[in-house]
Amino acid sequence: MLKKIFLFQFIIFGVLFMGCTSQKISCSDCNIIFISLDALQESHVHSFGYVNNITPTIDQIANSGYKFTNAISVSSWTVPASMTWFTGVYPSQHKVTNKYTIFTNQKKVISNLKKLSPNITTLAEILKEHGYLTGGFTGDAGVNGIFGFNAGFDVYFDNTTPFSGFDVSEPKALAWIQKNKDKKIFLFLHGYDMHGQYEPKLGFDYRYVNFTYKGIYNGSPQQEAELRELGLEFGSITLGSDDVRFWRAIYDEKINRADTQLNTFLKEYEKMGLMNKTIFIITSDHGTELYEHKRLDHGFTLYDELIHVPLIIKLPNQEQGVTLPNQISSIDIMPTILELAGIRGDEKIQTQMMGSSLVPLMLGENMQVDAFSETNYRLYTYKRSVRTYDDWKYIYTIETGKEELYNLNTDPSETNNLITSNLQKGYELKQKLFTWMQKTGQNIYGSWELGCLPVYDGQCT
Amino acid sequence: MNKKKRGKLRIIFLSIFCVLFFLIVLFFTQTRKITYTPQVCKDCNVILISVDTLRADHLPCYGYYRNTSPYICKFAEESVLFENAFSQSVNTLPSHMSIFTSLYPFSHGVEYPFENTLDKSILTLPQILQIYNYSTLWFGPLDDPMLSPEAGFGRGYDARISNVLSFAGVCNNTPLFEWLESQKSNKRNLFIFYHTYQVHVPYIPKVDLFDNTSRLNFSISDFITKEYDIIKERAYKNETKFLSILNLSTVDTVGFDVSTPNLSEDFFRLNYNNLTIKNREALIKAGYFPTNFEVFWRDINTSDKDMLSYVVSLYDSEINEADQCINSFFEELKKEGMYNKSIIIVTADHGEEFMEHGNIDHSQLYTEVTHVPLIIKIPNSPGYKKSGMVESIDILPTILSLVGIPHPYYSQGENILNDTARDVIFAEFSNKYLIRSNEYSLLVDDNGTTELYDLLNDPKQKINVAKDNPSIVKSLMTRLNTTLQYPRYYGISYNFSSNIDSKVREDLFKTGYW
Repeated sequence: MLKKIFLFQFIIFGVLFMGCTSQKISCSDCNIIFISLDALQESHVHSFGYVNNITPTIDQIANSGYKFTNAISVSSWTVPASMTWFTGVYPSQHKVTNKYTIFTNQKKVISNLKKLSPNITTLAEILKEHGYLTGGFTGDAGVNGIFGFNAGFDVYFDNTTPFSGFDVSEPKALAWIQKNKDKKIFLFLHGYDMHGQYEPKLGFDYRYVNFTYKGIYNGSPQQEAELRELGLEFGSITLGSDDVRFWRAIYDEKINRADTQLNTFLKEYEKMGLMNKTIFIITSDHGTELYEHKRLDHGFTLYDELIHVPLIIKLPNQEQGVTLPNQISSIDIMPTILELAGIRGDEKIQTQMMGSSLVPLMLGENMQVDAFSETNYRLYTYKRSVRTYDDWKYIYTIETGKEELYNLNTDPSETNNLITSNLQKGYELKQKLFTWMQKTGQNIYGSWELGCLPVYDGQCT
Repeated sequence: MNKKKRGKLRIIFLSIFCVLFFLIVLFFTQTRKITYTPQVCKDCNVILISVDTLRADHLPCYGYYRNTSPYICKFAEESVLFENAFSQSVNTLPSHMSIFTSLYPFSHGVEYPFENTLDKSILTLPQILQIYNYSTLWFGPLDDPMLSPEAGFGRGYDARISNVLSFAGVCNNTPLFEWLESQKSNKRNLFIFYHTYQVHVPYIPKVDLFDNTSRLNFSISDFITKEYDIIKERAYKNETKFLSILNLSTVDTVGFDVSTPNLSEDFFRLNYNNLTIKNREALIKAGYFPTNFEVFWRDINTSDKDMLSYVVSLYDSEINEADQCINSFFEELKKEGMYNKSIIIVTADHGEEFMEHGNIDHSQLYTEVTHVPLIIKIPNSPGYKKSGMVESIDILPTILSLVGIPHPYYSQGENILNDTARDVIFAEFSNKYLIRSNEYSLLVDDNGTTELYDLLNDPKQKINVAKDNPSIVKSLMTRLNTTLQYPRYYGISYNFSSNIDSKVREDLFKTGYW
């Protein structure tokens, strides 16, 4: 009885304490630097559990910031996933789910946020309105301003060779910061360094490739594209284990090079003396497939290698790292950034955003949410998935009606489809997924146009 | 020491505070809570009883002056009785499908017999319960076009057993009790759908309980004779067509073997009980087979008030027989120790009209046809009444909540054991729509007819006040249009044979059904 009373007291005090001394971690005078390491798979980051020590710079930030070890992206390729950061809504809601809205021999219309969803306000627009100088510096291609990514940015750099790396975007960004050192800035920094279509200017040095590798691959974007296309056409490709190791080593080299590049940026930034008035958000739009499901590249599926991404938030002067294993979604990033910037946002913004701020989680509250993802990838597939907070995943392929159910606790590689053996779980997750689809305006019974909506130029012509 | 003492004092002080706080919370929750929210029962059986065509206001627990249903009303005393429950349609097929899917008829799209089939993506109540390892039984007619397996009613059952004896509407629980016996050895929860046409036309009660004037002498044998007469009449009007129809029905070897037009009454009687759904379908499609409604009312003068009230007494006697039949089921459940482990729902798909609005049978959306009984018995839960408006589509989510199963994503109903009440209810039938609030009911049809009734001053819905209340019409119209925007979950059409055109289908539907 006494124990119970103590417990009760404890709860009451806890509630009172929380109410009276709510910690404040927002900073309305801080710079916000949002870095997208395009195509970085979560499990290839050392501080997130990768065996190889290839990411010292990322790890250093992760270990002194908030490390979200179960961050799930809303999509598995750049355009829809990145647009969600800037809109706070799911791809089906911002509608920039394909490169083109119309694509015939006669007519090609690029998808654009402002045309498809004129009522949506972007993160950069809100920050600009609240006194931030806003700059985006990117590697072009999937985050080209033409899709609407440039909305709200005072400067948006995307005029370069598609799939460029940080070596291109960083110097531009640093010059811009230098020029506006005394202003409050929001920076979106993006590089394709880890992407299949990227290669270092001076070529690979094969730093992680086993010297005994005798295979036919050299790691070039052309080879990667060929394998990707084969995988899309036939559903899978066949690689030897040596080849897989080779491609993984290439990926590691790309990651390592990006990490070094990031280090350069941070050093230069530090020199400007702005470090202790800056909030960093470092993440990736999606992962990369390395033959986990017998394909290379990304976009086609919603398995964890593609939607499980790293996410790090580092506050000014933060030294103590905090690991947060709760599942969260990239849909939560926009509300989090706004709260960290001390911006409440009007009612329209609040109703627009589908996620919730991660600040309470960072302050120690519990959070248990399901994460939803979707991909409409070229003419090949239309997939939707729910990943529950307790690690079950259900994937629905709209064009075939195929259902997949995985217990990620016992089957993290998602190879044992339980849809016919665990009917109840399948039913439960299907209801969750379809409820979400209805809530986000996805007409489940409408006809689905399986036209050619290519992601890359030169296809479907 | 001092510290310890202070600590003790603090504990006492805080304890008092906590107790007070707790009491205050308790006080508020107690006074606000009108109903009892039951615990989830994962081990409960689910028994859904549908008394086809049972209008709510003919039960004494819904205020009827005749004691038609002593057993159901006794059962209601230990159950939650919904005083204002409304069906989503006034026809067996769409209405039952709404119960089984928690979708409005326009959303599930199963509105016409032989024509529509439920989309595969929609799971019916037994299908969902089957996923959760229930042993499921259909106990009702097996080859009824209004409850046909093809429409989707066949899905999700481990067993489908007929309760129809020689004629629909005779109590026959024996096969059900045998099945219950067979289930004793398995540890699975049971789901039973129990359907009866007992109170549906023809009203041929065993005992004429409430009126002994015997104005109408109508036996089952008379009924079959009349049915035969009508077929014969129709057949001889167009002999060629009759021949082709009879040939059509020989496709199925059981039933009529009538390759010649010499269909004798004896032959008809002999084969009557062997008529398969295919035979009836063929005959109905051709417009030869009459509906039960047509046969029964054929020689009754509906403007004869005494005769009409006599027919109502027959209907009431049928309710009494259904009541006894259902009670025998309850008694069996009690005997087997299952009664207190079962969630039992008694409801109806629609009511019945007796010239209240110029018509008989059930095809209009007035109270007498849309207001249905809904009584839910929950184990270890006290009985009470709820007056808020609820709908048939709420039955599925309520059952699922009671047994702890998530609702399907498409469910348009709610768990009505919560304190939520609807501010309007919706029903539809054959391009006619009803939106009803606590104060007004709006009936519209596709031809632009608009009726508005002031339910508080005109509960019998006699005076159309639409013209005097344009703003009320407008606001209810808005609600109606919002409702009609709900998603439609169909696309697949049951392949209806080509020899029936839309006119025939429409005619079939207009005349009710058999």
